[in-house]
Amino acid sequence: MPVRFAATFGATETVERLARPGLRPAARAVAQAIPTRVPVHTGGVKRTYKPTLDEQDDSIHVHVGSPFWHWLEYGTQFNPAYRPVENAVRSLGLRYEARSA
Amino acid sequence: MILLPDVVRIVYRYLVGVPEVQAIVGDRVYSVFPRQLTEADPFVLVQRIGGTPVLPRPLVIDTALMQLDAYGGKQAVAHTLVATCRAALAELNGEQPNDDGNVCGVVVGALRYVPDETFPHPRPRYISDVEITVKPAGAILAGAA
Repeated sequence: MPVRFAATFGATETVERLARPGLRPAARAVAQAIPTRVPVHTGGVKRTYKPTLDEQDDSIHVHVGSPFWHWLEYGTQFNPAYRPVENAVRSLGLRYEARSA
Repeated sequence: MILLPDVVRIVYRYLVGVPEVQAIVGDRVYSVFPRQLTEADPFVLVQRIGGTPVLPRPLVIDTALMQLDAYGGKQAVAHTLVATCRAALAELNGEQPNDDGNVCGVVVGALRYVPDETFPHPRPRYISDVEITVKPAGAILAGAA
């Protein structure tokens, strides 16, 4: 059977519209996964991780909630870089894209 | 049995031998945080933060996610240091830096300025992500001449 391909305009908008229902569940899954990736010694640092969701027009921000998150994420002189946020994202099969800052 | 190479060791040994890096830090390239340095001494810290083999079987190619910490001295020194290390690593594509393993590819990733606040005076530090693909030294893949 011959197959005919026809150009469709607005493909990006179509994909975004189709994917939009999955945005909130994905953000919620990331928020739930982050604390599970925090290493535990006494549990004090892990308890500071209280992720919250912040819905924008076309995206959802996941705020980690811990004032120490960058110590755990990138390491300090006292601990290696554990990357709990990055590992949480990757553990869900999602692509992690870091931006230079 | 073929063992996947230690990527931290490959990067550490490579960087410590790059003249441009040596000009900034001497031999102060580490894989664990050094305790014996003063806060004025710039240095490089190489850490593996993740990554998985390209294929689970045969287990011959590994992709490591690495974090490169460039500590100043001053912020400008830290930036020169991280830029030099990134440029040196970007030249590794397809070359064999030492007997520890063969680097098949390097993807230089995000760069961040994250001072280490656990020092009395937050210490200038640039952090770079680098993805490095390696195979064991001497391993020949099917189809290679």
